[in-house]
Amino acid sequence: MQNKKTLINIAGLSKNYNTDGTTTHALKNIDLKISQGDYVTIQGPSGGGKSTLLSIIGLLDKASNGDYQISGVSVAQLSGSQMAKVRNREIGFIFQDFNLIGDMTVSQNIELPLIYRGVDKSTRKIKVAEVLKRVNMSERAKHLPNQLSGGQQQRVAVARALVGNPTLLLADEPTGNLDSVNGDSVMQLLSELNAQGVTICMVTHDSRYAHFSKRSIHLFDGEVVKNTSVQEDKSSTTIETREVAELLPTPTQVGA
Amino acid sequence: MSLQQDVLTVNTHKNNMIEKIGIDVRYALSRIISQLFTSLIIVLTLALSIGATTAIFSVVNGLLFQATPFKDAENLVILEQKDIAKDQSYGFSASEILDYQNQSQSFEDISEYHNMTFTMYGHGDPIRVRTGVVSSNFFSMLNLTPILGRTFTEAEDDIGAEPLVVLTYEFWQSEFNASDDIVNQSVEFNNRSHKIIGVLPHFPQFPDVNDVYMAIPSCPWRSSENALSNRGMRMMTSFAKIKSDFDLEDVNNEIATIAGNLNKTYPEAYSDNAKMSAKALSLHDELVKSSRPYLYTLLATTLLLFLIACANVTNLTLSQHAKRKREFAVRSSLGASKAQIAQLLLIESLILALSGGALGLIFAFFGLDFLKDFASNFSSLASEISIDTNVMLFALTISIISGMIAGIVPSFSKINLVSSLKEGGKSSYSTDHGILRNGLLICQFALSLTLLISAGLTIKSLNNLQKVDAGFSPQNVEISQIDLNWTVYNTAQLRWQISQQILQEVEKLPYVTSSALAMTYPNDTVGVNYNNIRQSVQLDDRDFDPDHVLPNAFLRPITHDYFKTIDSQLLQGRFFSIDDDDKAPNVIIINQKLAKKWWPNESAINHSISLDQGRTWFNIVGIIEDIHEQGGAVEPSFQIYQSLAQAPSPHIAILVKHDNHSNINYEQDIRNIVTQLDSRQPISKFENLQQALDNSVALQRFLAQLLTIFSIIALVMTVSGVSGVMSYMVNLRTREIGIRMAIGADKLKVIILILSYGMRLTLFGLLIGFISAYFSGDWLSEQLFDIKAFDFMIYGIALAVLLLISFLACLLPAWRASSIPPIHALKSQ
Repeated sequence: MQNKKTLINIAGLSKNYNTDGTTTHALKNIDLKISQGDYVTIQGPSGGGKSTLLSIIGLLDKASNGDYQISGVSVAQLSGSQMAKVRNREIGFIFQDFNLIGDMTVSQNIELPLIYRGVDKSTRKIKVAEVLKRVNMSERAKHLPNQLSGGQQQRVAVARALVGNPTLLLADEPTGNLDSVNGDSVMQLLSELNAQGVTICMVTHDSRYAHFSKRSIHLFDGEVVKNTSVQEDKSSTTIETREVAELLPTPTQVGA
Repeated sequence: MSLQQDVLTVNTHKNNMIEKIGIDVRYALSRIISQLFTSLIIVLTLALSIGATTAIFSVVNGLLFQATPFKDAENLVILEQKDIAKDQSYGFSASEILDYQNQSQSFEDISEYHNMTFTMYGHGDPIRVRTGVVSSNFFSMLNLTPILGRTFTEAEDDIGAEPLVVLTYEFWQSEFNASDDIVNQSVEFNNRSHKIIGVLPHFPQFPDVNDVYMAIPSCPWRSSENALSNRGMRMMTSFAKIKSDFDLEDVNNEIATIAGNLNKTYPEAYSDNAKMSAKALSLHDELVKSSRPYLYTLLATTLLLFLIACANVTNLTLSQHAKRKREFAVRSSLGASKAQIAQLLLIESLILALSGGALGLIFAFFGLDFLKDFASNFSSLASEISIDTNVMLFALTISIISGMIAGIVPSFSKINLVSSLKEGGKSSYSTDHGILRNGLLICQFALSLTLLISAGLTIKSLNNLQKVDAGFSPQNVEISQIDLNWTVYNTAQLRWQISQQILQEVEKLPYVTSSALAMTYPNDTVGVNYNNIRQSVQLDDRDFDPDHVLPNAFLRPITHDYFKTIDSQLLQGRFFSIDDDDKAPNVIIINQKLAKKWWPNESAINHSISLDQGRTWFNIVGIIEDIHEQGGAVEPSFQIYQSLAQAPSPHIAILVKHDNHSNINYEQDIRNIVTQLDSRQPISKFENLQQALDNSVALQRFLAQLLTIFSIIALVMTVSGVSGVMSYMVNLRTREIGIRMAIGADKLKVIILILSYGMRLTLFGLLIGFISAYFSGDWLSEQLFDIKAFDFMIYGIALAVLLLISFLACLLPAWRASSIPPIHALKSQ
C-alpha cells in the first residue's frame, strides 16, 4: 500500500450549509487519503455526511474549507470546465437510483461519456459493445431503462461508469434500490473491477457490503470517527465470482 | 325504491352535482389567485387574441354577415348598364329608367338616383351641399321612415312641382343643431328656395354620402329637356326591388332582353357601336364588395393569432398541470374519477378563458372606432358596425373554445398513482405531454412565420405601391376646391371668367412658384363625379367601322401651367399656353398610353380628336407621360387634357406650388381671393397633393399596420411560448442535466443540449410555416399590389427573425440549466 500513488488527498475539509441564517456543518475537518487501487467504503448513519463527502470527491459539489487534491492537483484551481473534464476522464459514478436517462436506450446512455470526450463513432460503438458484454447486458442494448429491472439498470449504470475507463469509481449506495440477489451481483462486479486495479470509493449503509472493501471509513455527524482496514476474507462471501471475473477484460485506455 | 325515493335521489344527485361544481369553482378561483402571475399571463394572452379577433369579426359581421339594414334587403338591387364591347359600365338616362319601369315584370319598383353639388344659402355662411336627387319611391323602396316630417310623394316627382328637400340625419345634426322646428323652413340651394319637408333617420348611404336628398323636379339639370329626352345622358343610378317570386337570374334574363330591344329600337342612342346590356347587382354585394379581400385577410390573420394564443395557453396550462401530478394523484386516491378531475381542470381553464374573453371584448370595444374609420374607406355600412349580440356570442364562443382546448387537452394524461404519490410528480419530459407540448410549439412557430411573412408581403406591397412612378410630383402642392354655383355660373363664359380671375389673383401670391386650375387632379375624392367623366373618342384618321371599338378617355380640363405645377413630363409637342383660350383653335394634350395605342408607329402630334362624334375637332399639341390618377395600383387609362378655357368646369381645383420657405397662410389667402371675387362662393375643401396621394394608399397602409401589430403580438406570444416550454423542459430534465454533468458534460455541452432541442423544434415549425406561408402568400399575391407568393427577402428576414428570437428565448433556460450545480441537479425531483 505504501508504494501506491495517492489518488485522493483531502486535508481539513469541511462543508457548511447556510439556511435562513443557520449554519449546518455537514462535514467537519475531514482528512482522507485514497490510493490507487484502494477500495474504500464510507459508512455511517443517515445525515452523517457520507453522500456529501462522495459528491465533493466526485467534483459534483465544492467544499467550504480545506484542501482537496486529486492526482496531486488541487481542485480549488480547477475551472468548471476543467472539473467537467476530470469527471469525464477520471471518475465514474454509480448512483443508488441508477440515474439513467429515461429517453435514451441502454447503449445511448453508456455512449454518452464517450461523446462528451469526443471519441469517434466507430470507437464508441466498440467500447459500448465491450462494456455491455462486461456487465452481461449485450442483449438489452436497444432497450429503454424503464424496460429493465432494477438490477439490470444498475448494471447499465456500472457499464456507463466503466466505459470511459476511469481511475476512480464512486458508488453512492449502489445496492440501495436492489434486492439482495441483484445487490450481491453488483457488489461482486465492483470487487472484480477493484481486483483489476480500479479505485473504488463506495457509500453504503449496509455493513455486509462494507466487507467487500479494503478500508472502511465511518462518518458520524460529519466527522470521521473510524478509519480501519477491512480484514480480507473473501472466502466468507457467498457469491460465485469466477464466472463474472472471467468476463472482465484488462482495463484499456479509452479515447483521447 | 319508491317513485318518491327515486325523485329524491335524482334531486340529491342534481344538488350534489351543483355543489360539486360550486366547490370546483371556488377551488379554481383560489388556485387562479394563488398562481396570479401565470393566470394574468394566460388572461392577457387570450384577451389580446380574442380582442383582436372579436374586433375584426365585428367589422366582418357588420359588413359581410349582417343583412343590409333595409327591409327586404335581399330583394334590393342596383341596375347596371354595360357596353359589352368596351367592357365599360354606365348609368341610366331618365328615358331608359322609364323603359325598364314599363317593360319589366320582375321588379316591384325601380327608383332613380344621381348626385349633384349645390351651394346652400340662407343658413350661416354659404356651404357646399352634397345632394342626392331621387325619385319619391327611393325612400319607400329602402323603407326609410323620416324621423321628422315626410319624404316626397309621387306627385312631387312631376316636373314643375315645388322644390323640396329632406335632410340626412347627420346634416340635420351638424348644420341645424337637430332642431325640431326645421320642417317647412326654407333654404336656398343655388338660386332657388327649397322647402325642407323632413329629416331622414341614419342609414348607410350608397353610392355617395349626401347631406340632403332632393326631389327630381327640384334639380335643374334633371328637369332640363336634355336630361328628360336624351337617352345618352346616362348620369343616374337605378335602384330596384325584385318581386318576391323572382330571383336574380330571372331578373337578369329579363333586363338583358329589354336592353337588347332598346338597342334595336333606339339605334341612334347606342351609336359608337355600343353593345349595351343590363344587369342587376345585389345591393348588399355592391355595398361590401371592395371590402371583402381586406376583411378576409384581417380575419384570417386574427384567427392565426388566436390559434397561436390557444397553443401558447395550452402549453402554459400543460406546464402548470405537470406540477400538480401529486395533487391529482391524491385526488384520485381519494376517489375522484378521471371525469371529476377533468371537470376541475376545465372549470379552471374556462374561468381564465372567459376572463380573457371579457377583457378582449373591452379591448375590441375601444378599438371599434378605429376600425370603423378604416371600414368607412370602403363601405358606407361601416356605420352599422357595432359590438352586437352576434359579436358577443362570437367572443363567448372563441373564449369557450380556447378554454376547452386548454382545459381538456391536459386532462387526457394518465396518472400513475404509485409513482406520482411516491415521487411527487417527478417525470421525464418525453413522458409528460412532451410530444403534445412540442407539437403546440411547432404550431406556434408555423403560424407565427405565416403571419410574419404575410405582414412582410403586405408591407412590401405598400412599399411597391408607394414606389410606383405616379407621373407627377406631389411636393409643396396645395389644393383648394371650389364647386361653382352652376345656376349662377351657368355658361361656359361665366365659368371661365371666374376661373381666370381666381387664377390671376392666385398667381400674385408671393410664395407661389407655379399655379394652375383643373377640373380634377390625381386622387381627387371630392370631385369624384368629374374625375370619372369619360368620353368616347373619335380619331381623324380612322373611318367609322361598326366592328371597330373607339377608345374611351378620361377628360381633364386644365390651365396652361398644370403640368409644370405637378411636375409632369412632356414627352412630345408642347404644353398649353395662355393663348389657348376660348377664342383660339381647339387644342388637346393626350397621354402616352393613348398615343402609343392609336399611333404606335407615328407621332400623334397634329392629329385630331373629336369628343362629339366629329362635330368638333381638337388638335393634339402635346403628349404627356402617363399619370396614375387613382393611386399606384390602378394602371393609367387613356387621358385627354383640354384647355380649361375651352372646356370650363363648374368644379375647380386650384393647385399652387410654393417655395416651401415662406411662412405661408395659404388657406386664408385663397378664402380672401374667392370671397373678394364672389362673396357667396364657398370653398369645398383644402388639402395638398401629398395628402391626396397618401390617402390613395391609406387602406393598404392600414392593413400593413394591423398585420404588423398582429405579427408583433404573435412574435411575443411565440417567444413566451418557446421560453416557457424550454424552461419547463429544463425543469423536468434538471436531473438528467445533473447526470450528464456528472459524467463529464461541461457548461457549453449543457447549453448546446438545450439549445439544440429548442432549435430543432423551431426548425421543424419553420419548415411547416414555410409551406403554409407560401399558400397564404399565394392568396395575398392575388389581393395585394405587385407581390409574389414567394419573396426571397421577406421569407429570409422572417425566418431569420424567428430563428433569432427562438435562439434568444432558448438561451436563457439553457444558460440557467448549465449554471445548476451538478449536485443540486442530481438531487432535483
